[in-house]
Amino acid sequence: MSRHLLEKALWQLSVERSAKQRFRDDPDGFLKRFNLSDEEKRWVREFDVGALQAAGVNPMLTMGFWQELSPDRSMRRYKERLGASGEALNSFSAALKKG
Amino acid sequence: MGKIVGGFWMPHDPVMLVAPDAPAQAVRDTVWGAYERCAQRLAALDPTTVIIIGCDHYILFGPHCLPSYVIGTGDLDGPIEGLPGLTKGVIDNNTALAGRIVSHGAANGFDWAVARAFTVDHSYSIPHQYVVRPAEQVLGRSLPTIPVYLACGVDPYIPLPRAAQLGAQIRAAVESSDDDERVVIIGSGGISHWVGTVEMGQVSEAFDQEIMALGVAGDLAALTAYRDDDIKARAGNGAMEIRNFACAMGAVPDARGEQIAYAAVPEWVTGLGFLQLHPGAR
Repeated sequence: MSRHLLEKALWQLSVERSAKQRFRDDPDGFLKRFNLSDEEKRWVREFDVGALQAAGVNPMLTMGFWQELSPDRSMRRYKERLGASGEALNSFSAALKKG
Repeated sequence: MGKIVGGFWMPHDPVMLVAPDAPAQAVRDTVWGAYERCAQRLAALDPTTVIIIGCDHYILFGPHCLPSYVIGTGDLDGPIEGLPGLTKGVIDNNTALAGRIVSHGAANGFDWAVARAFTVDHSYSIPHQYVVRPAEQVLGRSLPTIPVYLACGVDPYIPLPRAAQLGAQIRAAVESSDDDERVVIIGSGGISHWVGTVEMGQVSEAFDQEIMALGVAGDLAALTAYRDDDIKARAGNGAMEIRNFACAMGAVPDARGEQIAYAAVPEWVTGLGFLQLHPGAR
């Protein structure tokens, strides 16, 4: 079940300092240890949180992964990647203001 | 004989710590004032031990092991997160009572997972540092605080009725103690909130008010009758934390609630409710 392995990878990337560093240094090398399809590895490598959630990954993990490792950590961009637009993107929240 | 002398519902919203100035001043005053009042009320109950019902947010536990309900029976520290306003450190536990809850449960159909050396998260530390510690200052003594974590954030979720049954088992374990323990139980959780989903930032005041009204009425049957799909659709994945409210209400004998404060705070992405559970009030 890929959802489970995706969650295992994202959980490690959210909480384990050494995993975060390995991913920063060599994303493909880090992901090689998980029996994921090429497409699933791409979702992780490209921070495609929408695809990850569509695959069943817990949103708490996608958010933690994004906040820990995505290039700009913008929560506005995070919501865009989930498909938000217009008013939904601009809805006032402290989390979004940070982004 | 030990007894449960009261309970509370209160939130553990980390956004209020990372963006403290986001809402209007009146809202901030309502929320922080509610924590202060909860601390005063906790001290007035003259407790000897506090139990905080928290929930993991997919940090403490990973996909390799996801306990339905777990209790910290030994050494405690935390919180695990670095959040402004929270200090990390060793926490005083009541290991004897925590162990009694486990052994009583084993004899009565509740197979607790135990954490012998446990690092708590913000769902414990926010109530602990903003309510329990100020109450300790008022009382001039330590209040050992037992952590219980229910599966609210990661599936499989503990069923709502089971959360309430677990509260009743905690009460029975406390009452089976020869010690004159006076125990207060805190259900730690937000009401409506969407965590990490596209809806994040929405608040459902109608759902929140519904839950608070059930708390005031002490209607545990109605509180535990919600279907998970309905909770998620109406109030978000974060609202699954009402399990912690059900557990606390189940622990307080014949509980009825008194609303201390409520605020719908989209700036802090959550509906925030504060309520005291009074025993034997019906």
